[in-house]
Amino acid sequence: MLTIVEKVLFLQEVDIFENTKTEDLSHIAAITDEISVKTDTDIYNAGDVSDSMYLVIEGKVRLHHNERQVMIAQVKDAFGTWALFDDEPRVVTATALEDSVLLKINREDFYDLLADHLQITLGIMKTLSKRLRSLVNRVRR
Amino acid sequence: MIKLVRKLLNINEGEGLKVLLMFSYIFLAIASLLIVKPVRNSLFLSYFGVEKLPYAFIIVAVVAAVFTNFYSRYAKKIRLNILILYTTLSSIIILIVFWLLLYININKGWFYYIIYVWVALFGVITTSQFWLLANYVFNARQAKRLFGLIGAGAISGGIFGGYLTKFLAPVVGTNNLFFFCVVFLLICIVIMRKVWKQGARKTYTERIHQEKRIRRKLTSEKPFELLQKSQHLTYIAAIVGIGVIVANLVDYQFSAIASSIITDKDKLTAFFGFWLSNLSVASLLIQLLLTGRSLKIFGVTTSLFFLPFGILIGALSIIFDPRLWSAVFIKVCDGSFKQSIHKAGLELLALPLPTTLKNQGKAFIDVFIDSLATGIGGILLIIFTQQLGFSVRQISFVLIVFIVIWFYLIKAVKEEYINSFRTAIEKRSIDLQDQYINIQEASVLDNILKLLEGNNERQILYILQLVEDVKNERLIPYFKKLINHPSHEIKIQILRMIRNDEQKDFMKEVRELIHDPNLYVKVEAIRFIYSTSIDGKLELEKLLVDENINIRSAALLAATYEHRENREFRKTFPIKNLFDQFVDKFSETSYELKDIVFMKVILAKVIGISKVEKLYPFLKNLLLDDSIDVVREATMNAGSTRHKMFIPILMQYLIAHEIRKYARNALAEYENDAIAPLKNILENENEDYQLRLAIPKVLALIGTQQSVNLLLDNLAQEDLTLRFQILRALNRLRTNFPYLKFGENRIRNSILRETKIFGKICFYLSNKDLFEIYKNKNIQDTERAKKAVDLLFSLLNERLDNTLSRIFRLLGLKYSPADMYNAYRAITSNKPDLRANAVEFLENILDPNLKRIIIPITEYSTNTYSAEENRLKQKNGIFVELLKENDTWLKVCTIFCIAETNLKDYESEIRKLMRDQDTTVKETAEYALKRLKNRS
Repeated sequence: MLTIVEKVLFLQEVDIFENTKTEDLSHIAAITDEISVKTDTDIYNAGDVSDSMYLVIEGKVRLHHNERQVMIAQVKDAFGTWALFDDEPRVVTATALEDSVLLKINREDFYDLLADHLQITLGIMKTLSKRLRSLVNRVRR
Repeated sequence: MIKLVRKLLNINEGEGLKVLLMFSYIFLAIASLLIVKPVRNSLFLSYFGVEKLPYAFIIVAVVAAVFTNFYSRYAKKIRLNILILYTTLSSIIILIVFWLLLYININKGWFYYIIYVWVALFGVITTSQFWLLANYVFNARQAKRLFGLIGAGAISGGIFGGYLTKFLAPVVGTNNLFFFCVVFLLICIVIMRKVWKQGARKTYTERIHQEKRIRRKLTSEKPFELLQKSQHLTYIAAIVGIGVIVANLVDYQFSAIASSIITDKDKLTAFFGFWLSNLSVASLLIQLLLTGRSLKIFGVTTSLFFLPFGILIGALSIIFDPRLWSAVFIKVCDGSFKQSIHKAGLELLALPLPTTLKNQGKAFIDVFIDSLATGIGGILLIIFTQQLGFSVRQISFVLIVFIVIWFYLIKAVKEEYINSFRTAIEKRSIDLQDQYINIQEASVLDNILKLLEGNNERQILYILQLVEDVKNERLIPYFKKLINHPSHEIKIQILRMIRNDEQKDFMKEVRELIHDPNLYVKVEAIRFIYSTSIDGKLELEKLLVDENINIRSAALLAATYEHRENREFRKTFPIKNLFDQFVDKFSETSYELKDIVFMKVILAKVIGISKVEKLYPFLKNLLLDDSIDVVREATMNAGSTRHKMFIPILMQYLIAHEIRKYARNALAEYENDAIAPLKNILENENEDYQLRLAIPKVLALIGTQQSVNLLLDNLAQEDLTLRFQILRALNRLRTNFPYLKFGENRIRNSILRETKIFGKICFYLSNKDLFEIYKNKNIQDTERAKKAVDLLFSLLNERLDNTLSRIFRLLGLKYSPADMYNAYRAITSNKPDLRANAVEFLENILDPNLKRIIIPITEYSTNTYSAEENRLKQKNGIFVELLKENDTWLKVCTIFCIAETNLKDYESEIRKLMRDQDTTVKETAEYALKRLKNRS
């Protein structure tokens, strides 16, 4: 099991949290669950209720819709991120490509955390707006 | 009898005492003014004659401009009741000093100039302070209804003061009249204190909060730029300016003719007193008989012609027959029209301007244009009378020239006014709180009614609010149409308006609305039926036991609102009985869960609105209900009861995510009654930490000195997060309630404490050994060790930023919060220019003691902290110091760093931390000990 500091070190490298302060990351770390999944296990299926996001600590996870592969989440990648922001059902299925260790963040816990720590919300918004801006710039070019 | 008077004067229940007090206040204040004014004029003219009057005009203009600027800057820093108390006491002392100097027969020219100028200032300050107070005593709706009546107090005070002067001046002598003013002003102080306690204090506190927010949104454009932007505002300024110049010329003619005919000082005082009173009577008659009708029939702009036209007749009279009657005529025309029809016309003329423009423009016109025009009037009089040798009669020709220009300006502003009004309604930018809203004018009403036919819901609602007090038959067909509008907000507004107007023709439509799906439409429909139907009482009784729970609930709510607002209703329908009847009926049948929740929510509302103490135990049960909806509603209503039995429960809800916001607001409603329980939790280290963190947020909503004091007492809390929350709460209080005192010494001490912390962190950050420790040869996983050190380094940087933020927040308690925020943003930016400007700004603004501490921080000068560095070096080294910090996360990161960089010397220190109360510290210490052991 990872300690809180180890989780923070890991979260520091996840891009959505790049503008979040280390102490705030420790609060996020405190609400994460470390889970292990065996190869070929479905973590969630398309159409499931979205209630958590995941971060890959070890291993690989395949995101696919039926047979069509959408992406492969590797170490430090996050998937199911939109679960944190909307109530829509999952659009893809996530299956472990190999034995993997994941950090799971439950949406309700995350909302509670955001309500208490405005700085975390601001940090995430900063990252999202940066992404949006770079996307707009790319489209302009 | 009382009921009849109340109905006649349009005074609602509970307003009588406030109206009486405010009426008496302005009556006495204006009576005092109308005593000192004739005394001043008579003293001045008896000593100098009319020749020096233009100089007095110029001095008044200059002093008034300087004084108003000074006054407006400092007045907002003082609580209104204190400001009124001090200015009234100062006026009393000044009046006594004047009397003493007159008693010893000082007879010096400068003394009469001082009296002349002081009376001008006294007039402006006394009336403006009164109306400011009135704005806090009455809300916007009351103001629209009652300010006319209270304004009549001012006019009758003027009549009384003037006549009193006429009769007393020959009896007691001009000089002794000052004593009557002293007595009147002393009574004003007693009244003001009573009014303040009657509720102005609470409204003032709330309003200051709102106004502060609004002010933040206002732009700070220069007034001349505003005039350039708006042709409409420019015309208003020009009309005001020309009116002031003409008034000065008229005043000169009146004074010159009067003083040349009446030579005895006391008789002259009596004459001025008498005619100032008559002027007030004329003003009152015009106000009552002509103003409303003229505005309605002729419109705003045409009504503005009355004043210059009256003066034109007066000027011609003086040309043909320059005797006392023509002087009195021109003066009465100027004074009476100006205070009645012209004043109302100008207020309405400014109405369609955007609020920002209007507020800034009006202030600029009232202060700058008025003073400038007074000064110009004085200079013109000197040129015409002393340089060119014009007689009083020839001054009338100058007047006629100005009146022609005046006519042109009124004609020009008309078009601008209609255009501005059209735009303002379309943009919904007319301020609904504006007490001068009067849209009876035909051209304006036409524009408004057209928009009621549109599809824009928000606009319709806005217009309905705008015409809420307008009684005009032309609105009825629109009400008929809109009462079935899909928007429930519109339906509610229409129902309110037709209830106030007692429009019985709507009964059929309203009865159908009892079945509307929206609860508040039903409530308003039932209230209409109760107050308008002949059998209203009977119908309400039936609805209160209706089988449909929605109708029954709406009827109970309607009854509760009536109970709150209507004393007669309270006698007929005791709310406790209605409540019990509702609960009994509720227990008779079995309902679905959602219906049970709905009825409980209604019951919570009823208790909160009615504030009947016998029902409070029931509310306590609702506070502990299983349904979150019921608890939320009960929480909101517990606050409005302000009963102490609810405080412990509300405190616990401060950490319940779904209701904490409501619990905070509810506790804030208790004001000082909540301070002691909040203090017990905030200062008790054994209390739940999250609960302690929530307390400052509640205190930030309580705008009292006790709240500030409690937060200041806890500024030295060791826990950084709690300290930051306390500071945020203080900042919010400083911004929203600027008149509260924040104890300079305590702030300075806190800044000193924070700067020491800043110095210590700077030292940690500048320590090269610490950040190269991962190069230690004994480390196997250098990458992981580097990450651990980087984490510690990042954390220290965050701590440095946080400390700097706390320092600037503390500075924001002493200096302007906005200035300090901007300075902080500039200092923490990456732009060297911005930083340099901010440092320069701080150099200029900070007092010397603070400057010495703050400037080195802004430059991140670690050299300043050599003393701190030496102290640390002599001790156990950086890691031991870091582990001793009262900062959990810093401890955790330090332990992790020690573990990853394999610093075995600190093993014993880490072992001690295995007994730490915090689980994360313990967990990391355990991890570190294992890690160090594995490497040995």
